[in-house]
Amino acid sequence: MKKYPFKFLDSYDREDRVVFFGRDEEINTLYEMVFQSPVVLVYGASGTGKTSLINCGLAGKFQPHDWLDLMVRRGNNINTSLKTILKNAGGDAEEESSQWVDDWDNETGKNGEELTPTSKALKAIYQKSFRPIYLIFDQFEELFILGSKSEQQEFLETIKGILHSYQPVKMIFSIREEYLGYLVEFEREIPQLLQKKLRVEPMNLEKVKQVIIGAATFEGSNIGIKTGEEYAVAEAIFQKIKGSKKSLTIQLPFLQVFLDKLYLNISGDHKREKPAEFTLAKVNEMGEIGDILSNFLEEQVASISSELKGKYPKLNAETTWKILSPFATLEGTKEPISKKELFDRLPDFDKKLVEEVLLAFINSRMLRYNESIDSFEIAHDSLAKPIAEKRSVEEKALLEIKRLIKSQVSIKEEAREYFSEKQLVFIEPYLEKFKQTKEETDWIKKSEQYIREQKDLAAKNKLLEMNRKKRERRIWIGVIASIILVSISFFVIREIKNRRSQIADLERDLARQKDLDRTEELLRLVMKGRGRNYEDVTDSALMDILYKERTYPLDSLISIEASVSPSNKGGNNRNFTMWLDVPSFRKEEIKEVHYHFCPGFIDRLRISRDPSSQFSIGYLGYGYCPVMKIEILLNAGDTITRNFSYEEYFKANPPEDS
Amino acid sequence: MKTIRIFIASSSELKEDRDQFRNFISQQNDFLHKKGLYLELVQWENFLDAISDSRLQNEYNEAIRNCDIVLCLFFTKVGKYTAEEFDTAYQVFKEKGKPRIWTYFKNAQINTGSITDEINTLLAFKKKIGDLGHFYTEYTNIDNLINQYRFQLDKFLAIYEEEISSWKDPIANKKGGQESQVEQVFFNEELTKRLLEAISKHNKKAADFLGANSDWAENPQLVRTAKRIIINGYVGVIGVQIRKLMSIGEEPFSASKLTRYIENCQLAAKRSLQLISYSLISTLWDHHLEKKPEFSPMQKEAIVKFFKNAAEEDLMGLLELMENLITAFKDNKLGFLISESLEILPQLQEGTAFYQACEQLMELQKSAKGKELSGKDCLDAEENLAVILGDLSFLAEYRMISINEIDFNQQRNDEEGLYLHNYTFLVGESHANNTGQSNVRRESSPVISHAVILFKDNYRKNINLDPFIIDYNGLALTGGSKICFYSYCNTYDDGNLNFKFIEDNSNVVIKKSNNPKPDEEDLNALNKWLSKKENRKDMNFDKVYSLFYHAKKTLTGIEEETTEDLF
Repeated sequence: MKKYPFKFLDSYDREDRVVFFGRDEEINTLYEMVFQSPVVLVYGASGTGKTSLINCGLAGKFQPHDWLDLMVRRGNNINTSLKTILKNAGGDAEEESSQWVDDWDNETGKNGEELTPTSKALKAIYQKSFRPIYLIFDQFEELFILGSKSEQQEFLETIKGILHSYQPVKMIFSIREEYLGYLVEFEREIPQLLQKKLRVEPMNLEKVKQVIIGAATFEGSNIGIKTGEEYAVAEAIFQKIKGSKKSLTIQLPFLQVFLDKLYLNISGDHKREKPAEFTLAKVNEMGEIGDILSNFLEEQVASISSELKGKYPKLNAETTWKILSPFATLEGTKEPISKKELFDRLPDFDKKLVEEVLLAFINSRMLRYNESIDSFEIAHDSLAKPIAEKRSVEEKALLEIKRLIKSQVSIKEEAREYFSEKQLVFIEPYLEKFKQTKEETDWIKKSEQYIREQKDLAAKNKLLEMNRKKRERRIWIGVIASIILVSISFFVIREIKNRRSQIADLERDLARQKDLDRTEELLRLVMKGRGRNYEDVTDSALMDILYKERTYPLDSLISIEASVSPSNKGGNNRNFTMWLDVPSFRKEEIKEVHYHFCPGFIDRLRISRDPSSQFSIGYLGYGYCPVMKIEILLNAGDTITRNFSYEEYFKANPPEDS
Repeated sequence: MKTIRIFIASSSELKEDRDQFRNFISQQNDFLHKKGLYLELVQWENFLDAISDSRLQNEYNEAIRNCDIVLCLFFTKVGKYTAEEFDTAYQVFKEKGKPRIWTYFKNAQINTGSITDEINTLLAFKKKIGDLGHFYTEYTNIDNLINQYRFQLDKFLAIYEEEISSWKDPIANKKGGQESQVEQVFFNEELTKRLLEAISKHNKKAADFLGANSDWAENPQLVRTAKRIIINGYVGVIGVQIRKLMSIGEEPFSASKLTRYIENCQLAAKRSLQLISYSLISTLWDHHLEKKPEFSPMQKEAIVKFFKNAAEEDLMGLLELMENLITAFKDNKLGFLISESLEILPQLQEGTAFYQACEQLMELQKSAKGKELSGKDCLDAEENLAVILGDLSFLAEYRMISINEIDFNQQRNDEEGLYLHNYTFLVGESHANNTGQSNVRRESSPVISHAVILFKDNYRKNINLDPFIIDYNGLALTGGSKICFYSYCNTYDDGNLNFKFIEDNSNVVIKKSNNPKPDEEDLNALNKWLSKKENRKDMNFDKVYSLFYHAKKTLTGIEEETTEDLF
C-alpha cells in the first residue's frame, strides 16, 4: 500500500522519519548539542516545525534503547502536568520507596543532597528501562502566556533539582522566539539554559524544494511529480504560498495545507490513498490562494455547520465560530482546554451540540485531543489567529473581563486589590454570560461591598465636615451677633440687606427645583414616546435605564425592529420596513448599517446611513427573506452582526390583511 | 478489510464503562471502514459464555493470541479471571511482541462502605504489574478513558497501517505477522548475575551489595539496583555499552531487539579489548621514549598492522593484537598500569573459553545479518559476553576521566600557584553528567590537557590514551564529552583518521586542518591566532592527527611521506 506523505497540521514523530525532509542540517546540530549540554533550547517562529524537529528529526537519530522521550505540555499547570507524565511513565516515587528498603541504592544526588520527588520519579522511570530520559518541554511559552509567577517559580526549582540529581536525564525546551525574553529570569538560575540553543529557521525555497521533492520521490509515496518539472513545481508552490509578500520564507502549516489541497484537487480522494501526480499546470490551476489558513478554516466551519444543520437546525456558522472561540487566547495564541472548561465557557449552548461540533473538528484534524494534559486544542498555533479575529466586540469584551477577574483573583487574597468602581461597571453587564468560580463571585461581591463602604465613609466624612463648618459658623455668628448687639444701631441697615439677600437665594433655589421638576417631566414625556419599557416606571428605574443606555457596550443595546403595512395603493404588495432600536444619544457611534438580502432581490446589499430614520430601510413588495444578516458598522471600526427573520416576525405579529 | 481484534478484560463492576466503550469502537468503525479497517471486539461476557464448561488456559491463550490489542480495565478489585487474562496476554506479548496491552485503572469516588477485602486484589495487582515494568494509566470517567484511548488507538493504527503497507523495517515486518514459536527469554539475567559476582572482587559497592542481599535476584527492585551497580562499576566506556544491553533487554519482543542485542554484546566485548590494547600501545610508546624495546617479527607485524589498518579490527584481530602486545611487554619486562591484563595471556590462546567466546560472538554477529535470529542466539551472545567481561572484571578497579583545560591561578603574594584541573568523569550513565559543568580538581602541578586518561587509585599515575581514545567535544571546546575510540586509518588514501563515537558507533573523521599555526618566533601573530577559539580547536585536532603519526613512527619506524608535524 502506498503512503500519503503529508501530515497536514499534525507534527511529525519518530515513525514518520522516512517522510521528514528539509531539516537534515538542524537535526545534526541538535543531535550534537544533546551531547554537549544537559539542557538544549530550540526556538523559532510559530510554524517552523520545532516540535517535528525534536519528535521526528532528533528522535530518529537515536536507537530505541538510547531514547526515552517524555513530552511535557503545560496543560493547566506545568508542575502538575510534569508530575502526571512522570507518574504515567512509571515514576511513582512514593510507591517505590515505601515498597522496598534498598540501602544500596542511595537516594542522593551529586552533592549528597537528597533527591527531590521529581528526581526520584525520574530515577524510577530510568531503572525500568535503562534508557536515558529526554524531558521535552514543548510549547514552553505557554508557561509565560498562561502560567502564574508562582507556577513559574516552582517549575524553576524542579529543573534545578533535576540538574543536581545525577540521573540520566536531558532536557529540551522548545519555545516560540517572541517569548525568548521571558527566559532571562530562568537563565539567571540555570545558566546552561541558553548556552546550547538552536534557532529553527523558517522554510526557504531551497528547503521547501527538499520537502516537496523528497515527499514525492521516496519509495512508497502515493504522490509524484511530473518528470522534468520537479524544481519548477516546487518553486511554483513556494511562490503561490508566499504570494505578494516580500519574505524569503514561508510557514510550514501553510505549505502542508496547500499540499493537501493540491492533492485533493488532483486526486479527489478524501481517503488520500489514490496516487496523484503534481504538475506545473495543476499548481497553477490553484489560483490565488490568499490567506490559506483563514480560508481553510472558513471552509471547515461552513461545512461542519451545514453538515450538522439537519440535526441542530439552530446551528449556523456564527454559532460554530463561537464554539471554536475558547480555543484561542485574546492575543490569538492557542489555549488548550478540557471538555468541562469548554462547557463552562459556553453556558448557553446545548452540550450535545458542542460535543458533536468538537468531534467534527477532531475528525477534520483541526482540533486534537492531547492525552498528556487531558485537553483539546487547535491543531496548530497558526489557526488561533483567524479564530481570535472572528470574535465579536461583545466576545472580546467578555474575554477581557474574564481575564481581568481571573488575574485579580489568582493573586493571594492578602495581596489582592479590590475591583475599582470603573472595573465593576465594565464587568457587571457580562456577569450573567459566563460562570464564575465561587472565589470570583465572592471577590466581586466583596469589591462592591468595599466600594459601598468607601462611599458611605466619604458621605459620613462629608457630613462630619459640614457639621464642623456649621459649628464654626455658629461660633462666628455668635461673635458677630454680640458685635451686632454692641453696635446694633450701626449695623441695622446691613442686617436688613442680609435678610433680603437670603430671601433672594431661597427664591433662586425654589426656581431651580421647579426647573428640575419640569426637566424630569419632559424626560418622562420624551421617554414615553420610546415604548412601553419606559412607561410606568419609577424615576430611579428610568434613571437606571438611561444609565445603562449611556454606558453599556452598544452591542448589548441594539435590536432590529420591523414593521409591515399594506400598500397605500392597495393590492397584495406590502410596505416592509426595518430599523435599528438604539438609544438616540448613541446613534452617532454608528457609521452605517448593511442589510443583506437573500437571492431573489435585485439589490442584495442595501445600506442606510441615516441616523434620523433610525438607519431604516424599506421596500414595497410581495415577499421577504426568511433570514437576513444585518451588519452594523461602528465608527470605531468594529462590526456588530444581527440576524433578522420576517418569518419569526410574522409568527409574533400575524399580518392583519391576510 | 483488515480486522483488528480487541480483547477487553474487566470486572463486572465496570459493565457500564465497557458498554460505552463498545459504542466508541462502533463509532470508530464508522469511519475506519473507509480505510479498510475493522475493529472487532472480543468481550468478556461473550468469551465466558463460549467457554463456560471447558475453560482451559489454552483457550484463553488461543483467544488472546489471536487478538491485536488487549485492554484491561480495573476499578476496586481485580477478578481472578481478569488477572489471568492479563497474565496470559502479558506472556503472549513477551513471546510474540503482540498483542499490545493497555491497562487502565479507574480513579473515581467510591463509597467507603462498599470497600471490601477485594481491594487488596487491586493493590496486589498494581504492585505486580509495576514490578513487571508494565505501565498503566488512570482514568476518571468513561469520557476521559475514551479520550485517552482515542489518542492511543490513533497511534496504534498509524503504526499498524504502516506495517501492513510494508514500507518500513522489513525485518520487523516479517516477524510481526507470522506465528512463530519463540521460547521465553529472560534477557540479562545471566549477565547481571555473573558480572555482579565478577566485579564484586574489585568493587566495594558490588561486594557489600552481594554480602547483604544474597537473595537479590528474587527482588525486582534489587535486580535494578544490581544492574546499575554494574553499569557504573565497570570502567566508564564499558559501562556505556552494558547500559545499552540492559536497556535492550527491557524492550518488548521485536526482531530489531534481537539484532541490536547481539550487535551490542559484540560491541561491549570489542570496546573492552580495544581499551586494553590501546592502553598497552600508549604505554609502549611512553616506554619507547625512555628505552627502545625489542620486538619479535610477529609483534612488530601486529603493531604495524594496527597503525596501517584501513578497516576496523574485528574481535579476533584485536585478540591477536592484545596477545602480541602483552608478550612484547613480558619479553621486554616493561611495567604496565593495568598489570592484571598481563596475567590473562594464557586465556588469549586458541581453544580457551575466552578465545571461543570471542569467536562465537563474532559468528553470531555475522549471522545476525543473514538469518532470522532467535532468543537463544541472544542468550548465547550474553553467555559469551559474560565470559569475556568476567575475565576482564579487573577493569572495575579503574576509572577514566577526560581532562579538559588546566587553569593556573596565582594571586599576588601567593608563594605558589594552583592548578585547577577541569575534567569530566566518564561513567556508564554518561547522560547522568547533567550539571553541564565539568569537575574541578585543585593540584599543585599541571597534567596534560585535552586528554582521556585511565587510572586506578592515584590520579597522577595514569595512562594517557590520546590519540587512541579522544574526547571530541573536549577538543572542540564545545562542552560535554563525546568519547571516540580509534577505528582505522585511511593509510592508502588521504591519511585521515577514523574514530567511532561510543554512544552510537558512528564514524568521526579527524583530518589535518588547512589552518597552519603561525611561526613560534612571531609572538604577536601567534597570540592573535591563539585568541580565536576556532584556531585553538583546529590546533587540538591537528594535534591528535600528528600524535597518531608520531606514535606510528616511534613504534614502527614508518614515516609518512606526506605528514609534517606542524607543532
